[in-house]
Amino acid sequence: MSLAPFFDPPAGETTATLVVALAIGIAFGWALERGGLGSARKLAAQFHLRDFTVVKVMFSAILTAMLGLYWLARVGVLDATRIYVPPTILGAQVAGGVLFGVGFVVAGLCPGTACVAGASGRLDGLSAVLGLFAGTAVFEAARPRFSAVIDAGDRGALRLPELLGTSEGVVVAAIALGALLVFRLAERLEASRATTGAPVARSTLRRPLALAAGVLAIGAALPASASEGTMDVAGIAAAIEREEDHVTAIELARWIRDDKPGLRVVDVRPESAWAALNVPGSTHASLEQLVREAPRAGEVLVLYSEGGAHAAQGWVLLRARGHREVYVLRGGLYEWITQILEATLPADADSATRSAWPEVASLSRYFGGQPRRLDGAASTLVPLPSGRAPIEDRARDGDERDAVRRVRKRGC
Amino acid sequence: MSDARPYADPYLAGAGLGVVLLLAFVLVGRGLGASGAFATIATARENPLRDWLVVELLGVAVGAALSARLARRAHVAIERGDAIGGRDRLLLAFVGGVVMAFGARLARGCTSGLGLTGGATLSVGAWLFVLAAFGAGFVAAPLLRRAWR
Repeated sequence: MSLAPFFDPPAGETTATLVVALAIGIAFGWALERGGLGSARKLAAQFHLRDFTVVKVMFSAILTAMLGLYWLARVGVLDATRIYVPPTILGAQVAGGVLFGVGFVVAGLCPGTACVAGASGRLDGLSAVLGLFAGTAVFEAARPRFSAVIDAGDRGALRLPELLGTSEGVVVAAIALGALLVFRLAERLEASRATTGAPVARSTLRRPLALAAGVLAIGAALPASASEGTMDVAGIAAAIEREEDHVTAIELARWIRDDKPGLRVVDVRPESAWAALNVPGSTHASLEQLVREAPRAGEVLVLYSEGGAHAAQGWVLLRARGHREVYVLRGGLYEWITQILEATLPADADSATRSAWPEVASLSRYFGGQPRRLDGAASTLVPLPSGRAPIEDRARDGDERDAVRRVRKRGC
Repeated sequence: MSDARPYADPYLAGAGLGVVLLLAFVLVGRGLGASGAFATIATARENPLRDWLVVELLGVAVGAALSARLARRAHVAIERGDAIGGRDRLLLAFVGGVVMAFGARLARGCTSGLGLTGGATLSVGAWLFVLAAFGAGFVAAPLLRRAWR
């Protein structure tokens, strides 16, 4: 099992995570100020190609963290699937990026560096901070008007390796080597122009650092072994052992009835089979289509097939692709039919089954099924949750019965 | 100020910043940010002091103030070019802040939350944002050359 991250972001803040936040922030502010990014003059000079400090600091930081993340995950210390990846929203990010870039040049500072400038006593930094508050407040108040553009081109947590169809290591190596090349160009350009800015130290560590980055980058491009470098096989096996890989038909029925947030039920059988009979609210997709999708934050994916084997294979693939909230409907559509649509209380049912029966019968009716009890007692009607009508029966008398028979004949 | 110490080597400062970013990933599974904290404070939907980004940004101010003081760079001033006055510079900074806030809210992040965090985690949208922001910045810069002369 991997050690990191130590705290899970969705778990909410504790005193410990807030202490970490303060410490990380202090170090962040320190590094920005030391590098000269609290100086609006220096930042503006980047956009006039007279001083490359912004590019150097920013890309050195990305390079360091990217190589660190990649190698910690590759040696198994860090679970990369639990690291937050900013979402990709194509339209909003291009439009937002253009606005942001113009604002950056006008202010001579960005949000983080405006705080640094302000904290060092620069009144223009404080003025930019006030502008940021004002702009944010106005935007939030007017948010409904932007609803058309704000989610344009939402692609979830899409990452470059998935987009390009290459391995993570190759992308990491390409970015790292590209950054080293940019640094070289920046040095040449700066040398060719007389700079009059504040003095900047020159560390003897430059060469060793560049060399280390180069070695780690080339190593990233070389495959770890015959298997996929970063697949967390042990983690996936442990999830199966803990039985976190499946839901029962009754659990799924509850989730659908209660509109569980982020729930997406996917039928991985052939499309014609899905069209003939399916779990209400499900969509159809092939395993191949699913594996190509990037994991979406907050999505709870439930896969089902005829019996379950096909969906279970998909489960393993999706976990390997980084999906965290993915489940298989245990027993597949067969169990959905026997447990929900044709829920039956046997004559010799034990007391636990008997006490769960009213809810099962209610769920069955909700999905248009016909619950039966064979223990002789009169059927007691349990009212549906208020405000909810039963889901329409689909092709009740013809297709469905045939489909049930087909499912049974094929078995699971 | 003439007695101010020289700035650190930018590559060393960047590598240090990268280690801080990596520590954030390792400890809490998330990266750095700045613009998100402004939104939390501006909307005040919850106690801002229980918000990770707000506390982190307070840390940024503390760390920057400490570093600037120790390097003898902490003093009250308006950083501007000779061709414009102090009031104009403050106005430009304010207007730039407003425009940046719109851009950052639309894009779901800024140079920290998207640029650094998304850059290191290989987010497609983050790289697109960085390209768009720097592209627009380089195009707009000549119009503002006078402000820094």
